[in-house]
Amino acid sequence: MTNTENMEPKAPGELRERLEDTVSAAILAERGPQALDDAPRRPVRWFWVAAPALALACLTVVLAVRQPRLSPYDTFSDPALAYAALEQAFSAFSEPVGAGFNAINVSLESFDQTLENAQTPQQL
Amino acid sequence: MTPEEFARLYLPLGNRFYQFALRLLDSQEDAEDAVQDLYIKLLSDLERLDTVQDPKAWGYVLLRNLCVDRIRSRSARPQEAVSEALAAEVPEEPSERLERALAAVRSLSDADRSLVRLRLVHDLPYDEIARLTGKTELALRVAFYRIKNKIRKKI
Repeated sequence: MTNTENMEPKAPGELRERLEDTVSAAILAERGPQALDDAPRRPVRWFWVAAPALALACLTVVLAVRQPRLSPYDTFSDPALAYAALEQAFSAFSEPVGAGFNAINVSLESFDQTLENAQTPQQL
Repeated sequence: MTPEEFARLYLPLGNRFYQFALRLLDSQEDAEDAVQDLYIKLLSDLERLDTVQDPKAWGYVLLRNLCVDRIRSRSARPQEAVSEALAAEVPEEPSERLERALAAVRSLSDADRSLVRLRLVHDLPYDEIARLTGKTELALRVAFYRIKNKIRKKI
């Protein structure tokens, strides 16, 4: 803007309003009074809906991945391997049980021998 | 060109047009009237403005014609030569519908005209106008309903 333009008189504020009234009249002449109806609602800024939803989804996935597994790891897809593992487990279980039964048998045999050696109840 | 496009393009030029008219007419009141007449003429033929390359230059041409007409009408001295040369460039008279609409807008109160300007020229939604004016949105809807009825009767 030049200095000359700065020194020139400004249009009164009323003129601006008169011109805007004229433009308003042109709009009303073209579109009728319904031009005054409210503008359509501004579209929802989906970013503000999508962003928290995406963050929540990511958090859910991260938590699901980090969650310790509730199902056992020692499962088998091959039945033969499963059978072998079961057999091994039973073997590990049966060995101490068998040892226990042997100890019981030894004790029972000793008991029976004592009964046989005794001739009368008073000798027990 | 739509009136909204016109507003964006031509309203900022109002001050320059006013200064031009003031230099020619040497009267604030006449200059304001001439500029408003200019806008009425421009708005009465919006289709033609689509072909205008330089809105400011075209506005100056029309405004000069309007100012010459005003000088001639208030002067005792005939300026036939000038007027005849310029008369051919003056666009046709504004449409009756635009005149009726302008009369309808002018018949509104200052407050109502302000609401109309905010809605139509500044393209603000009701909630924004309510915020600016301090009115409730319900009161605003009632006011616009009343304004629409007034304008509908006059257009």
